[in-house]
Amino acid sequence: MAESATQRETAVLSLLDDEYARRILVETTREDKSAGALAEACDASEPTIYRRLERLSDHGLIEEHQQIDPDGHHYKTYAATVEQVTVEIDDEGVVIEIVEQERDPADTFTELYEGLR
Amino acid sequence: MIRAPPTQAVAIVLQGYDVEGGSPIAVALALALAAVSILLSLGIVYRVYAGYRASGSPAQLALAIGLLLLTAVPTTIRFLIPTFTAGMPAVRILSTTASELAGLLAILYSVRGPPARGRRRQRVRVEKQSPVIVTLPFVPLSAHQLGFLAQGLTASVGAYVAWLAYRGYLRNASRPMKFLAIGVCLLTTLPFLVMHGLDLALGATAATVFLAGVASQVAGLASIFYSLTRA
Repeated sequence: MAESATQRETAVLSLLDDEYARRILVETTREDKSAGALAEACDASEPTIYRRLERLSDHGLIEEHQQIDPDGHHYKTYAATVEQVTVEIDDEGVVIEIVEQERDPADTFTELYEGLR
Repeated sequence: MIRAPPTQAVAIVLQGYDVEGGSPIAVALALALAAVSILLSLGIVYRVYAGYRASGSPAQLALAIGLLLLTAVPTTIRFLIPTFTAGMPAVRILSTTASELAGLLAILYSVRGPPARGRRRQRVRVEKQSPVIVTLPFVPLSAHQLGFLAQGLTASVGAYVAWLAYRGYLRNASRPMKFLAIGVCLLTTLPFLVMHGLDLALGATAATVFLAGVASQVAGLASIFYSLTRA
């Protein structure tokens, strides 16, 4: 059965229209990257990257992880959570489907264990 | 903790490990380790129960039960109810190992069991095949061989759970996960390697091997207790 696209799905489509947003998703699909590394990989300024990261995170296409560098400082890295976005058009309407990557079990484990403390 | 007269208590502690003899120092150390592991287990039970009460979801219940089966239950079997298994070290080793294995599987279930968060497309493929019936030949195993296999399996699953926890620490900079990983490894994987590797490699005496294994388990309990409290 066809259903009309919801707000989130149309927002995701317009977000994907942005080249930096797409580059960020591609760069963080296989491994986590920090905002600095993303700025370098996308050849953009860090404020540009942070704006895209915020929008991607708002729509649940990316998630943040805390990291500690060798000096003991905390910093954030980002990982894409989306795997596929499809648009299907037939005579009943348009169906936009967002398929998310399977979540890393190590993250689920951490969340559960920290919740138990 | 152990109210039996000293000589009897020593026998109780050593019974489960099928160890005879050992210097008085080794025996005293074994008793001290037994007392410490009982205290740590009580601490873990209390923390896990309090933690679950404060924030209980079904997945956390599975995780809590898994942690108890991994820590407190085997400790209880080892040190507090020796009368049930007196003279049957194989029964004790099998029951502690089975409890640890069940605990590890409950932890894995808590992590993997709930359906994935994202929507996944399911393509159902229907295959027409006649069911294949496999009959395994019955291989008689001695209690000792069965114990070895069960301990090996537990050590492997423990290594996997420890690796998962360690990755959780790396990905999220979570100190509790680091100490959980160390604890699970010290509780399950290292004692197996010590008990079955040390005597082969170094020709260590049974008492030394036993002490090294128990010391590793106590350190594992301490690490898990630490991960639940201060880490």
